[in-house]
Amino acid sequence: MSAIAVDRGLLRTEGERFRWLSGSVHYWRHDPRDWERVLDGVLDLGLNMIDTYVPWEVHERADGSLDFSGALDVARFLELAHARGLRASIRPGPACGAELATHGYPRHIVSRPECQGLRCSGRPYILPSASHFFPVPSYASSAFRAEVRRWYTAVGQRLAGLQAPHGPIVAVQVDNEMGFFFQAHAFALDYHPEAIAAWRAFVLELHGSLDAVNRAYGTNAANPEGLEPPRDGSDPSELRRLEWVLFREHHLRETLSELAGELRESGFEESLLFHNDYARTETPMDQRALEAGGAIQVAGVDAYSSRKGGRWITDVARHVATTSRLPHFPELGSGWISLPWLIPAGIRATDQEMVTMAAFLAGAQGGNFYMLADRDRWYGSPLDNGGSVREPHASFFRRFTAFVAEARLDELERETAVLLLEPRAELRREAARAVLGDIVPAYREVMPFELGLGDPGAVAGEARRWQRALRQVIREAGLDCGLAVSASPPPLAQYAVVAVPVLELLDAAAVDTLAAAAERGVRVCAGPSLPRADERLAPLARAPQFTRLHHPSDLAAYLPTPGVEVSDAAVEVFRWRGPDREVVGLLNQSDAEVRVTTTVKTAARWRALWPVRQATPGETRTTHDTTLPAYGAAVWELAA
Amino acid sequence: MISPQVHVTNLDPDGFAWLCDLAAARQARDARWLWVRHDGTRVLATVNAENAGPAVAALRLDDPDAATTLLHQADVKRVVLLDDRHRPALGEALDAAAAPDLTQWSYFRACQRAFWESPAVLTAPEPPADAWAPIAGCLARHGDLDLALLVYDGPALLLGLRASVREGAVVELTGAGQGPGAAPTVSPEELVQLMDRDRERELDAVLVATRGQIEACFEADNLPAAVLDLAGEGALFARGAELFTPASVGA
Repeated sequence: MSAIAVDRGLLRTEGERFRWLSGSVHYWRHDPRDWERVLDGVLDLGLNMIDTYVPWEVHERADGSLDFSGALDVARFLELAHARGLRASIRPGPACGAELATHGYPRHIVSRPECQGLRCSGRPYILPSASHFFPVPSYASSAFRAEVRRWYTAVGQRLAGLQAPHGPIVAVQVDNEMGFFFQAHAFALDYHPEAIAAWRAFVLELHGSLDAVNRAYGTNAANPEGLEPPRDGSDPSELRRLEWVLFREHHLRETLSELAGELRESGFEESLLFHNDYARTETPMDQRALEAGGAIQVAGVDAYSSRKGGRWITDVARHVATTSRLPHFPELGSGWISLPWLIPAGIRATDQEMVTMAAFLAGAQGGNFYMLADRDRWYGSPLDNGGSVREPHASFFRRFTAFVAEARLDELERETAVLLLEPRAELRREAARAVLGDIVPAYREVMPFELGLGDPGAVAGEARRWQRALRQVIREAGLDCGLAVSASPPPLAQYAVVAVPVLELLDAAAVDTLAAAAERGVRVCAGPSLPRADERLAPLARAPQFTRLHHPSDLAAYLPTPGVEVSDAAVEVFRWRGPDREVVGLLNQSDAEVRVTTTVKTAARWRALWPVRQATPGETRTTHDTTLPAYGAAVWELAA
Repeated sequence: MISPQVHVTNLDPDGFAWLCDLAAARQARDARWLWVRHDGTRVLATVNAENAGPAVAALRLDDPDAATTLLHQADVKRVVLLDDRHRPALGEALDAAAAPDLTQWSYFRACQRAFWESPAVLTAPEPPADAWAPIAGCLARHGDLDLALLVYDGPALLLGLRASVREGAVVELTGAGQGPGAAPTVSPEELVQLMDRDRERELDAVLVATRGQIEACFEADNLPAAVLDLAGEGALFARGAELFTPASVGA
C-alpha cells in the first residue's frame, strides 16, 4: 500500500498535503560538482520536487554490469535533494527517450532478435532516436521482460530505501510514453510471437471459444495457434480488425499493470506509481481506463507547445482534469530538443508563460517542468547546465509558483457544465482501416512519407470532424467543458449536457452510463446518428433516448449560459468556484493585444492574482475591463 | 556528418529558438506535396489533393509520365505516386538501409535513397538531390574542424553557434560563449577572440551573416548550397572562407 495518497488534486504523505511542482534534472548530464548548485536553483524557482530518469542505457555496460559511481551516483544526488527538503519522482524506464541513443534501453539487449518488436511484415521496427537508431523492444517478449525485472531489482536495491519518509522519492514512473513507439498506426506493431499469443488469448476470452472466434471472423482455425491477427486495414473481417485495435489498448494496460507490479516487488511499494503518454488521448491510450483498472495509480499527459498552441494545451488539460484523479502534466515543456534536424521547434520564455498558465487554468493541479536545467541535447530551460538561473525564464517560475500558492485552485471546483466525449468506438473503427503499417516511419526525417496515405487517423474522418465541430460550438458559446473518452466515461453528476459524436457505434460502457444519466435529466446529445451497435459491432438491444443532433450547430440550443462572459471571442475564460471565493482566469489566444470586458452575474471584489498581485481589493462590481497582451493571461480572485 | 555521441549544450535560448523556427517553417513548407496511393488501376488515397481532384480523377496510372502530367495540372511543388503493388519491396529496402554501423545521418540518407529509388515511388520533378552530401564530404575531407556561425540582427548578436568536427562528424554544438550578461552588440572580432581563448584549438572558419541572409537561405530550395553561396561573399567570413567555397566543397 502506497504511503503517498492523492488528496483533492494534491499529494499527501504523513499528513502533509503538497502540490506536485517539479522540474526535471538529469543528474548524469551534469558535473557532480554542480549538483548542489542545480538543486539550489530548483528551490530558488519555487519548486518543491525534482524529477529524473534513471536510465538503464546509461547505467548498464555492454557486459551487463552496472555502474552507479561518480556522475551516475543517483543515490547521492537524491540524498542531496532530500537534504534541501526537495521531494523526487524517479523514472527507471525501461523506456526513457530523453534524447538518448537507444531511448534508455541497453543496446546489447535490443539487439537480441528475441527481444525485438515486430511490424506486420514480421520485420523489426527500426526507430530513429535523437542521435542514432535502434530496433525497438517488444514488451510481450518474455526475454526482454526478464531483463527489465533484473534492472528493476537493481534500481530497487539502490533506491527503494530512499522513498519518503526516509528519502525524497514520492513517485515512480512506470515506463515512459509507452504505446507502440509513437505509432498510432494500428497495424504497425507488435507482431512478436508472444504478442500474437497474447492476442489469441484475448480474442478467445472475448468470444468464449475457438468455434465462436471462427464464426465471428469467418475463419476455420483448427486450434488457437491457427488464428492469425489482422495485418492491414484490408483484412476482410472488420470485427477482427476492431478487436486487434481493442487488443492494443488491452495489451498496453496489462503490460503497465505487470510492470507496476514488478516495481512494487522491487521495493517501490511506498511510492505513487504513474505513467505518462505524449499528448495523445486517442487509441491505444485511455488515461481514465488505466487508472480505473488499477494498472497504475495516476495517468498523466505530456505536452510541449509554443504559445500559439494555447488552445490545444487547454484541451489537453481539460482531458487530464476530467479523467485523472491527480490532474497533472508529467512533462510540461520547458525548452525543447536542441537537435534542429529532428522535430525542430522554437520555444521561448514567452511560450513557457502561456503554456503553463493555459495548463493550470484549464484544470492541471500539478506538473513537472521538462527540462528545468539545461542538459545535453536540450535548450531553453530556466537553469543552465551549471545551475545558474537564466532570465527571463527564471523570473516567470518565481511568479508562477507564488501564483499557484495564492490562487489555491485545489480548494475550488472548475465550472464545467458540459462534457464532450471522444467517440472511441468510431475512432477505433477509423484506426482499423489503416494500411501501410509495414513502412510507416515514426519521423518525417527518415523518409518524406505522408502519413495520411495509409493512416486514416492522420486525415479527419466524419466522426473526428463532428468531434471538432462540437468542440467549436462549445467554444463559441463561451463555455469551459470536460473532455473524456466514451470507452471510460467519468462520473456525470456535474454535467447538464453531454455530447458525443456517433455515426453508428458507441461503446457499451457509454451507452449504459449515458442512458442512466439521461434518465436522471442530463441532456445527452448524439449526432449525426443515434448509436445502433457497440464497439464490437453487436446491435444494441434498444436505441438509447438521446437528443439527436442533425448538425453540430444544433448543440448550441441545449448549452447553458456561461457564468462569466467576455467581450472578445479570442479570449478563453475559466471559472473556479468555492463557497466563499472564486477565481476567474482569461487567456488571450490571439497574436494581438485585446481590450476585454469581463462580466459576472453577482457583484464581487476583484483582486488581481496574475500578472500583478494587488494587496488591496477594489470596490464591488460585476464587470472588469482589462488589456491582455498577445497570448497573455489575467487572473482575479472574486469575493463578496 | 553528425556523430551519434554528439554533445549539444549551453546554447543561447532565444537565438537557437529563432533557428529552430526557420527549420520548422521549412519542414512545413515541404509537407505540402500532392500524394497519390494507387494499385495500378485505382486511386486508393490522396493527400493534399484539394485543388487537384479532376486531375487525379483523369490520371492514367499506367503512364510512366503520370507524375509529371499531374504536376503540370496541379498547383503543387511536387507530386508523389505510391504504387501499392511494390510496397513489400519498399519495406524490404527500408529495412536493408538500417545497417548497424551507420550513423543516424547516414541512416536518414539511406532511407531517403531507398524511398526515392523504389519502384513503388514515382515522382515529379526528379527526386531531390541529397543537398547535404557536399557538406558531409567536405567535413570528411578536412577531418577535424572548429567552426562558428555568428548571426547579427543589425548591431545585435542574434545567434552564436560553435561546432566541433572530429573525424568528419560534428561532435559538439554549443553557444558562441557570449553568455549571460554579455554585451548584446559584441562584435564578431571580440567573439572570435573570446572563443579562441576559451578552447585549446582556434576556430578554423567563422561565418558572419545577417539575419536576412540566413532567413533567405532557409527559403532557398537547396539550403546548404545557399549557405555556401554566402561564402562567395568572402567579406562575410572572419576566417577560413577558403574552406567552404562552392569549389572547395565540390558542390
